[in-house]
Amino acid sequence: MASFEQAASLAARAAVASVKERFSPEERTAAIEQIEEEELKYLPAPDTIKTKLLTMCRENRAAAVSAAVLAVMAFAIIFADKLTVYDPNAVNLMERLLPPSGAHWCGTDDLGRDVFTRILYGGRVSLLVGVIPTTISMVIGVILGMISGYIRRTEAVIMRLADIVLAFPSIVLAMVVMYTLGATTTNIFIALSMIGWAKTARVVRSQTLSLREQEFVEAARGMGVRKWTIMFRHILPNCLPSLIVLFTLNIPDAILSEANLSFLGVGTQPPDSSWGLMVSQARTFAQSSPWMLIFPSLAILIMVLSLNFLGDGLRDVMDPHTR
Amino acid sequence: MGEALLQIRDLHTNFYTREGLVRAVDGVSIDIEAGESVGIVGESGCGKSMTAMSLMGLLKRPGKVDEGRILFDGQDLTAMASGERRRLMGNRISMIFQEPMTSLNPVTTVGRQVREALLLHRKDMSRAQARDRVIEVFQLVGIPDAAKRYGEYPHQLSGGLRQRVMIAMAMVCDPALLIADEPTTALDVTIEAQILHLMKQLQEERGTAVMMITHNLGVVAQFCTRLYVMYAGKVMESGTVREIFKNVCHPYTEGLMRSVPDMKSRERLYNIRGMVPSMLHLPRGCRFCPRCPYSMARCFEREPDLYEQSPGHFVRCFLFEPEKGEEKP
Repeated sequence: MASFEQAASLAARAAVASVKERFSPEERTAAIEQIEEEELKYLPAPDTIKTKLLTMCRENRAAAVSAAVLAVMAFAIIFADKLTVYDPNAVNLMERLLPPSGAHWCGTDDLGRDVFTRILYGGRVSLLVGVIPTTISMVIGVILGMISGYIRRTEAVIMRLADIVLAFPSIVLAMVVMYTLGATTTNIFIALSMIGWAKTARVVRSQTLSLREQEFVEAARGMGVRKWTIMFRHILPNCLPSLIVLFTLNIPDAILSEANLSFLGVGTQPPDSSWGLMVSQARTFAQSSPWMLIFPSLAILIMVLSLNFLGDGLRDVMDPHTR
Repeated sequence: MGEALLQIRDLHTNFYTREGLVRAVDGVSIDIEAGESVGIVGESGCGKSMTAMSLMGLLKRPGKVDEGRILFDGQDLTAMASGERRRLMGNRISMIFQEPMTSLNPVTTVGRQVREALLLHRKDMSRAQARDRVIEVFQLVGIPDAAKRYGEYPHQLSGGLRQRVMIAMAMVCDPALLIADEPTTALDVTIEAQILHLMKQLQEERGTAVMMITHNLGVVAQFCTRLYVMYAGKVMESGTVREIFKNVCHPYTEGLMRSVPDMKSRERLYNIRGMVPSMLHLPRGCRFCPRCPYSMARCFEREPDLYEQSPGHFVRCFLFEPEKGEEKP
């Protein structure tokens, strides 16, 4: 026992001695500097969008899968004509209301059109209708919301305008726009943008109201920062988490609004299809041929779910506290 | 005194509240020479911060500067166009805020925030140059691993480091005047000493004038050359720190001095009777008289002026009125 301890202490002394011998003071500082230099190489990677996305994929499996699903969907929709042998609008009354099979993966509808093909082509409209008006309406809503929250003089005007939009049943407002402008896809974008901004403006305004009283905003003002710069560089980034969530919630809203418009005859015009239109047309066949209803609904469901997961993941990596 | 860097003349800042007019700053005159450090002392709510806010143009509604001039380098800030004034803010005049915890934007890295302040006022600087300069200033204010800290978010820094970042932000444009609004109140004592030491060092090296707003007389004794004691929106006593600490005149200043804990004394800590009066219902006459141990009948009738007790040492108290003045009991 004793001999073991002795040996240990001897070894320790030898180690200390060898360090003492090996390093003169100059060498010591040189060694320390070298270590510091090495450390500099391991600085955290700068915060680029790319590194953020990579972290998200690594840490959040659901978000990564959702991103992949959305990518596959986008791919399928873009290359729809390569992925199917059928014409989406070709009527074939011999093959009407067939259940799913090897030839027709998702069955056929009441006019004998292949449902899978129509989902692919209809996705073009639905995806655009989901993303474009939502983006436009959110940009408008963010700007108006921030202005009304930060510049108090404008609040009454902008918020009353938003109240008017919100007080109207949105579908009626959209129908009015569609009737006046005519039923084209571009006009669907315009109509949905016009009704969507008010919700975003409200959310952003309320966040701006609380953020503008924060001390860092006051500090920025004290540094001589312009109010527009304060809005876009200090207030907007702090609103981002709620905006991402809002975005993922607004997309299904827009898709369903388009379906409603199409159902009422002022949206997508037959024979073209969209997911919303397919669901509403399948209602009458829900009992006898449920595949007509199930598959387009599934497409909407998968897209909305993926967007939500992806939004959650994005929100998490955007939050500096989780870094 | 004619050429002082900052001359606040008879400043009146009023708040138009529903309950009535609040005279938060009521005819305050303050001079700060270039390179000088001046302390503004008083209890909470005596108008020290409001003086600073009026100076920075950060008053929130319903506050308004109604009267008086703020001359900085000979230019009247109150008469300036907002764009012109903004060019001075953060550039020639900058401010360190009280709360380092909330004065930094939580979603932007500290380096970017300081760089923003720099780029705003130095248009000719490239982003890379500005970045190098910010890291340099970070080193100057004693932030270890400055290059690494540059890319970190406020929540990753301790309170002391955040206050150093705030100081860096205020100093990055080399201002002529630095307003420090209780810069150490939110920090613990050891950090407080470090920060004060740092500010003193920067002030001496760069010849920055500092307006130190505090309720801590110890800070003033250590840091400042001149001192203004404020009470309920008015300057009660002013003079050099040396003179005032040697020859305390105003009963309020005396009360403040006696309220500082003394390690040697075993007596109960002194406190000034009563509370700061509501600014809505100021007492008639001298605003300190209800709490003053020496108050006389006339104190309740008329407000005293600032009397010059010795050269440069002014006191707002009838006890020191020349000619008719009586000795302190």
